[in-house]
Order: sequence, then structure tokens, then C-alpha cells
Amino acid sequence: MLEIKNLQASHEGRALLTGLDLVVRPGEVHAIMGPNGAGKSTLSKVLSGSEDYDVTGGTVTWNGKDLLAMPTEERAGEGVFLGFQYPVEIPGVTNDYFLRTAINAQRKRRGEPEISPGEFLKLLNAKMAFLEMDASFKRRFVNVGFSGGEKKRNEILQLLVLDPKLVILDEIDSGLDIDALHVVAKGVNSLRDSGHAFVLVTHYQRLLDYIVPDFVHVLVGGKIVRSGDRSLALDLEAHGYAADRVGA
Amino acid sequence: MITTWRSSHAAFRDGAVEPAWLATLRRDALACFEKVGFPAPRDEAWRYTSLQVFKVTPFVHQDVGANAELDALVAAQRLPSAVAEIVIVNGRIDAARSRYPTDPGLTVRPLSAAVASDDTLPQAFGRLAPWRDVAFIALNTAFVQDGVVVQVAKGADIAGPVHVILVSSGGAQPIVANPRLIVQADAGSRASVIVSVLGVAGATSLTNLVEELQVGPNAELHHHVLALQPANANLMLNSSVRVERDGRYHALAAWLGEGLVRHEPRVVLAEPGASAHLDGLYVLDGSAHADNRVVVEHVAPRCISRQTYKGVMSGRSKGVFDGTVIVHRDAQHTDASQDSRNVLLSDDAEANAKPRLEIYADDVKCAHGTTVGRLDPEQLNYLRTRGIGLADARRVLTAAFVAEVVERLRDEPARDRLRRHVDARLNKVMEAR
Repeated sequence: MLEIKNLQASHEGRALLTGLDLVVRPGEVHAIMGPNGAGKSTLSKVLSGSEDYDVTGGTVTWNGKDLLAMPTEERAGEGVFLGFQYPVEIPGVTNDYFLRTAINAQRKRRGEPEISPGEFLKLLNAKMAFLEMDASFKRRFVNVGFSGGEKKRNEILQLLVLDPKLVILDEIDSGLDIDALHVVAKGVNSLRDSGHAFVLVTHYQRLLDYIVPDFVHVLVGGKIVRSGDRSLALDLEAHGYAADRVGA
Repeated sequence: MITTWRSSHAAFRDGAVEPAWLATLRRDALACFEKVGFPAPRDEAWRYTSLQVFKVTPFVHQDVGANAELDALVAAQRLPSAVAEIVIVNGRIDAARSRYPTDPGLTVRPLSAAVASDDTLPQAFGRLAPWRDVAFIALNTAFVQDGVVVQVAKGADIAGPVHVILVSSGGAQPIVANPRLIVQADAGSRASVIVSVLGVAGATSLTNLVEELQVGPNAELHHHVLALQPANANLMLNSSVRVERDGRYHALAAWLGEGLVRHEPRVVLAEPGASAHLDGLYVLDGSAHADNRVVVEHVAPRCISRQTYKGVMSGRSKGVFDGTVIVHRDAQHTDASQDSRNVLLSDDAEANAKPRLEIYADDVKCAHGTTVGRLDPEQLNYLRTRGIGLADARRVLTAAFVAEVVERLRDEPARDRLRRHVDARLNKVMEAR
């Protein structure tokens, strides 16, 4: 279970999260919506451990452990995954090498033996087939020369191969055409069960047609100002964030 | 110091029996060395590398007998793919450790044997290397003990590399070796020559290697030098290369040792359609020092040259890329590029990158670029979000940075070996941080 209490964070002295509370239980899908500059991306990055942000107050616990005290790689080892809005290109590192290194790093952290090359290949092939990715992506450098949609698909491939417990997806729908959106949603939905928790950060309601959330939260001015179920997203789609902005 | 070299030359020559042309050449070269002398401290070409060690250290020639440490050193670097493997210890061929080829398209001989028997050698020896102008080449010419002469016959396609292993052994006194490598790749041939430079730890040495490589019409020559010397083992390397019509020259210089390396490749694209790809990579640590002074001359039209040098510097190490492309008046449609990329892993490490173009033709395409920087924090963060720890993330990114150059090496066992040495070096560098 993820418990965020009164979380405050800033970037270069500017307060971006101003007291955010959120509880996410295993099996739940939470959508965080809000206007530009509301702090949506900040929340994703702070949870993943980005050093670009200063946490100035509040607590975050994940399965009883103090998440904020852990460096980024340790959070990943504890099952936290961030799907990037802008996945990073890494020339010279092939996708398959990257994923195998990541799996083994996480296994090592958990005191488990390394995955065998054969076992890894089988896993990778299965997940790539499921996401309708061409086998050539294995040997291509991470995200280098990928289209917007291919980069997002690659994020979902990492998600499926690493199989984390807390999945944070930062605007995974931005820059996606409808086919790519289908595939991304298929990947995410395939993980939906009582063992996985999801936080979907999105600007648009459209994503939620494909990944139906249990809860929708409106983030404005660095805190959650309204929470509801799926109907809240449809309401926002119809009326915008104006009412919430005034209320904030 | 110069006088010491002269008296040492007299002793070195005492009792030698060799053809008159070589004796004359040695005498002339010694005179040139005395005239040219070691570069002065203010010499711009030597701005980044101190020659103090060569001025104060009394280097001597020395033979070596059986040595278990040396055996292990050589054994670890042998290449299973090699069609010939010549081991040179302290400048002299070690016949017991060497093996010659059986392929009829390839002739590999000790220089000492070729000197005695080959009528064409006087034309090849000293033809490409500017021994009158460059102190270390003059010195090598005056003092050369032995070396390797490689001839690739017209049209021959030699799969495995000719591997030359240069070792300086440990000794009470600093050791100097002046080996020479002469390669003639005849028209339409294809071959690889790999030079590995090793040294027994703890000893002070100077390996002053001179290479003369001739790439004939439509021939393809791959040339890889890997230096793994310990600290206090110095490598001076002058590589003179001439590429003829439609010939292709591919070089990869890898500096992964702990001592000093100064490499001066001089490549002349002499006839139309010739090309040269010069790659360099160095991973330096401690007080290691690698100074690359590259000169590529486009003499004829429609030639291509590429220089890609990648350096990773840690500790107090220093990496220098000083590259010049000269495009002569007749070299129209020249396509030349220079690229020097450097990553600094410590505050005390230093990278110097100085690409230069001298263009005297008007219809040319020339580009150069340099970067000196740190690892990209966004890339580091991305790897860490996937569970890869900071030290491993640094290692992965640094290995990726040099991979472009490593992966271009033609011979697979040599490529595997290089990858292994790069990884080992990076592990050591990361540990030391």
C-alpha cells in the first residue's frame, strides 16, 4: 500500500506540491488529472526518486517503508516503476542488454540469483510479441531513433518485463496515436490484479476509456482538490478544470 | 643526453654485420636525430606531453631469457584467430614464442631476415616514415634492432590478423626498444595487422615503435594497436600510412594502459578514391597519459577520411586529441570529418581536444566536432529508475560511450578481447572513484 501524507516538494525554490494526500491500495487504479502546472509530473518524479526535486515536507510510505529515504534504484528494487512522459535515449546501450541488466540489478537487490540468458530471452520475446513489437527493437539502442509511440511502447515493455508492484505512468498517453494507445492500454490492463497498484497521471480523459480507473483525483496547485470515481473524469472532460481552479 | 645516444650507438653497432645501405641509413638517421634533437618544451606539437623522462633516463638495450611472468603476460593476449603471431621482447624477436603463417598470400618475416635477403627492402624501409624530421623516428632508424615485415600478395584475402606482440620485460635498468613494423598490402588484398603492447609491471621502459604501412590500389588494411602497458612503460608510436587508389585503411588505436602513450599517425591519401577511418579510444586512470597527434593529408581528389576519438579520463589522467586534416589544392571532392568526444569522471582528470582543418581546395566537405563533459544525469537517472545502481549505471553509460568504436573492430576475437579490457578498465576506474 502507498500512503502519501501532506507531501510538499519544490524545484529551484518554487513550491510545486503543497500538501498532497493519497492512499493507493493493491489492485487499485488511481488517475491523477489536472491542468498544466498543477504538479502532476512533479508527483511522479518525486515518487520515483528524482534528484531534481526537493521534498520539503510530508511522508510517503510504501508497504510500511519510508520511500523518501531510499535512493532511486532502491525504490525500483522495492517494486516501484515510473513510466516516463519523455523516455530518455541511451546511445550505445541495446534494449535487451538494458533490460537484462535492470532485471539482474533488481534480483541482486532482493538476494535472488541472476536470470539465465535463455530464460530472459523467452520472457523478452513473449512480452514483445504481446506488445506487437518487432524483434529488431531488442538490438536497437534504448529509445534512440524511436518515434513517440515506439518510446511509450518501450516503456510498457520495460513495465511488463520488470513486473513491478507500484506502477506510476506519467502521461503515458501523450503523443500516442489510437493504435499505440490500444497496445499501451492492453499492456497495462494485463497487469491489473490484486498484486499491482497503479497511479496514472494524465491530462486527458481519453486514456481512461482504455484503462478504466477505480478513482479519479483532481490535482490543482500542488494538492488534490477533488476525488471521485470514473464519472469525475467525464465531468472534467465536459466542464474543464475551471471550477476546481476557482475553488483552490 | 644527445651525446649519450651517440656513444650508446657506437656500442650498439659494435660488431654488427649488415648491408651497407642499412649502416648508411643508421648513420644518417643518428645525424638527423642529433640535429633535430628532442622537442623543446615550448614546441607547440608537444604542449601536452613532457619529454623529461626521455632526457634524464639512461635507457639501455637489453636481451632477456626465460621469464615466467613474461610468458603469462604474452599467453593472456594471444588471439586464436591470428594467422601469425610474432613476439618481440625488448625490441628483439623471440623466435620460441613466435609463429609464422602458412598462407601463400601472406609473407611475414623478421626484419633482420628481410634485411639480409630482400632486395626490395631498401626501398620500403624508411620510405614512408619521415626519419629526417621526427626525433623518435630518427632514433628508431638509428637503433632499430628488429621488427616485422608483412607482405600481402595481390588479391589475397587473409581472414585472421597478423598479431605482433611487443613486450618490455622487467630489468634493473630502464629498457629501450626500437622495433619497426613494415606492411605492404598489394592491390586488391585484404588483411588485418594487430599490435599489442605489453610490459612487465614495475620496470621503466620506452618502446619506440615505428610503423610504415602501404595500402595498395583497392586494398583494405585493418590496423589495430592495443596498449596495456603498466605505469612507467612509455610508448612512442609513429605510424606512417600511404593509401593508394580506392584503397581503404581502417585503424583503431586503444590506450588502456597505465603509462604514457604518444601516437602520431600520419596518413596520406595519395590517390583518388582512397579512404581512411581512424578510430581512437582511451580509458585512463591514475596518472596515465595518452596524446594523439593525428595528421591526415588529402593529396588526391575524392578521398574520404574519418577520425573518431573517444576518451574517458579519471583520476589525474590526461587525454589529448590533436588532429589535423590537410586538404591539398588538387584534392577536390574531399570528404573529411574529425570527432573528439571526451568524458571526465573526476575533477583532476584532463581532456584536450584540438581538431584542425587546413583547406587549400575549394570543393570539399569537411566537418569537425569536439565535446568534453560528464555523464548525462538524465540517462543516469533513467537507468536508476529501473533498479540499476549508480556505480553500475555509470559503468553502463561509459561502456556505451566507447562501444561505437569497439564494435567497429573487424576481427571478432580481437573485438572480444578489447571489450574485455575496456570492461576491466572501467571496473577499475569506477572502483577507484
